Parts: sequence; structure tokens; C-alpha cells
Amino acid sequence: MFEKFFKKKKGIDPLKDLTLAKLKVGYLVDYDMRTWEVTGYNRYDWGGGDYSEEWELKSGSDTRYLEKEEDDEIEWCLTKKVSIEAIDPALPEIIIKHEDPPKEIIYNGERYYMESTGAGYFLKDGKGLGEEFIRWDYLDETGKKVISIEQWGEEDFEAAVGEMVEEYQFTNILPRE
Amino acid sequence: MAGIFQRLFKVGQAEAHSLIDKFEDPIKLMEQGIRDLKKDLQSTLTSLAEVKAIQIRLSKEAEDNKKRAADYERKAMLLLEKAKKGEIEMAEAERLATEALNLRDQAADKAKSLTEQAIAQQKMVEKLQANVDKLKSQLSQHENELITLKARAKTAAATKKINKRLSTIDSSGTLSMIEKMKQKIEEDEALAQAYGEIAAVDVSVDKEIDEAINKGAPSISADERLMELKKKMGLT
Repeated sequence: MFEKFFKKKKGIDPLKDLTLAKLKVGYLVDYDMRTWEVTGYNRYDWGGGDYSEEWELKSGSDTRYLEKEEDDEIEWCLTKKVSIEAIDPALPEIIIKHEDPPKEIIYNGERYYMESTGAGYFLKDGKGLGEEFIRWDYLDETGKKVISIEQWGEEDFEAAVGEMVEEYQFTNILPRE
Repeated sequence: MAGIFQRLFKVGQAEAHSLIDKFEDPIKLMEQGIRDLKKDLQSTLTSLAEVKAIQIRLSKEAEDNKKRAADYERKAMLLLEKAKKGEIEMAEAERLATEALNLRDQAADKAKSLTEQAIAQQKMVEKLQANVDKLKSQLSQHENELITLKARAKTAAATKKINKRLSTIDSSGTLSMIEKMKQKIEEDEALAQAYGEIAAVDVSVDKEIDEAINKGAPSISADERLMELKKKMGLT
């Protein structure tokens, strides 16, 4: 009982705790010569104890999504939302008809190949039971550029384009209370 | 008189310092110093984040107002064009266009003011950032120094222990005791030798006396002594 009252609030170590994996809503981080504010945090439950994390970053009117996936090693992916029609106007129809998008996509004159597909649950703010969705991930020939297509429900689609990034590209993480 | 008190005070002060020195652990003190510095850095980082967030918000608002100003100007032009095409009356179009231009100017003024504030805030950010960088570098340096100091303190403690042990052995007199024992044994040996020599001298004197007495006396053999005894007993 007393421990509860006297328990010291553990502060963050400004040299060790300000890392990308420990980003919190409200934090600021510099990327690509701009400062981004963390405005959201979500989790994806892929089943079997497999999770990935996502932080929503905003700078001015731009919004990006930073996703951390942990397989054999930690991978970071930074994307921005685009309309699925911007990738291919026929995509929704194809997915509804074949229950899958094509194995290859051409976007902005570049060819992307389907890398993985999976169904999971989206946990807004990292909490709750989650909302079910299906995702298809594509990579270009260099393995750096990414497209992801998501299906929510029967006819609701979302798409995002971006690239694989490295942790060192993100600097000056600033905490906020 | 005052001099005596001053001296007494100095002595007391020196003793107090000496006592405190005994309780001071340089490593623990340095660790505490680093903890304090980290706390300072954390609050500076939080302040920097706040200032930066304000700067971002101001820049965004400035940008929004610039866009709004441009939008009002576009609308004013659109009104005049419509009036020119006869889609609306020129007087009405001009009235609305004038209103739009007023709103454009308001938005432009606001954008200008917000931009100025954002620039001032940016300068503050740069200043704070410099402080943060300095603190971070100091902290890293101190943490590295602490690692080295910890290793040095461990070595010093071990050396101190060994040296103390060595000095204790010497001063406790183990070595001098061994020396003393050695000396005592040597003395005993010398004494034993002296007694031996004295004993040897005594033996030779007795021997000389006996020899002188027995000189010239016939030597009796064992058989003769047996015969003599038998004779004494009347057995022969």
C-alpha cells in the first residue's frame, strides 16, 4: 500500500530511452530535414503473437505512418496514404472479383512485386479488440520502395506508398509530458 | 584572543572536512552528478519540444493563412470574371470582390505576423537545441569518464588492499618476529655449542686425572677378576 504512495516515478533516460521504438504520442522527431510530431500510435495483430507497431507522424499538413516490424530483425517502413485509384483505378474491382490484387503493380512507371499478404486486426491506439482487415504488401526491384493495399470490409480499400527506412535517419527525438 | 578562536574554528573545519571525506565515495558522487545532469537534460528536452511544437504550429498557421489569402484573391478574380461574362452583376461582383480582397489582406497580415512569430520561435529553438547538444555531449563524456573511473577505482581499491596487507605484515612484526626467532635459534645454537665445548673440557680433565692415577697399575683381565671373586667366596 505504502509502495503505491512512495513509488518513485521512473523518468526517462534522455540518452537511452529516446529511441524510435519508444516513440510516444506528443513526441517530436526529425526526419528528412523536417520536424514531425507523433500524433497517433496503433498496433497490428497478425495472430500467433505477431504484432507490428505504427506511429502517425505529422509535419504541417503532411502525414506519414512509421511502421515497425520485427521479424529476424527490426524493419522500419515509412508510408503516406494515397487513394487506391491513384495506384490503379481498376484495383478495387479486381480485388472484389478475384479476392486478391495482381501479383505485380505498376505505379509511377515502376514495377512492384507482391511481397506478402496477411489478415490481421487493427488496434487503434494499440488497444481494444481490433478491426479485421487484409493487407497486401508490394516491393519494387530495389526492395526499398513499398506499396501496401488494405481491404476493410467488403468494398472499403486503402492504399499507402512509401519506403523502407533506417532508424539512424530519424534524429533529435524530443519527449513531451 | 580572536586569533585563537579562528584557529580553533579552522581546526574544527579541517576535522569536519576530513570526516566528510571519509564518507565520500567518488563514484557514487559522480553517478549522482550524472543523474542530476540527466534530469536537467530531460527538462531541457521537454522545453525544447514545447517550443518546437509551438514553432511548428505557428508555421502551419502562417502557411494556412497564406493559402487562405491566395484563395480569397482567386475568388475575387472569379467574381470579376463572372461579372465580365454577365453571370452576375458587376456592382455585386465588385462588392463581393472587395470583401474578398479585404479578407485576403487580413489573412495575409495574419500570415505575416505568424511567420514573424515562427521565425522568432525558430531562433529560440536553435538556442535551446545548442544547449541540449552541449548537455548531451557533456553527459556522454561524463558517462564515459565514469566507466574509466570505475575501473580505476577498482584497481586502486585492489592495490590499496594489497599494499595495506603488505604494510600490516611488516608492521605487525611477523617479519621481525621471524628475524627474532632466527636470532634466538642462533643464540641457542651458540649456547649449545658453548656448553658442549665446556663439557668436552671437563671430560678431558677427569680423564687426565684417572689416567695419571691408574698409571703404573697392573691391568687385570676379566678371567683374573673372576678367579679373584671365586677365591673370595671360597669356591676354589
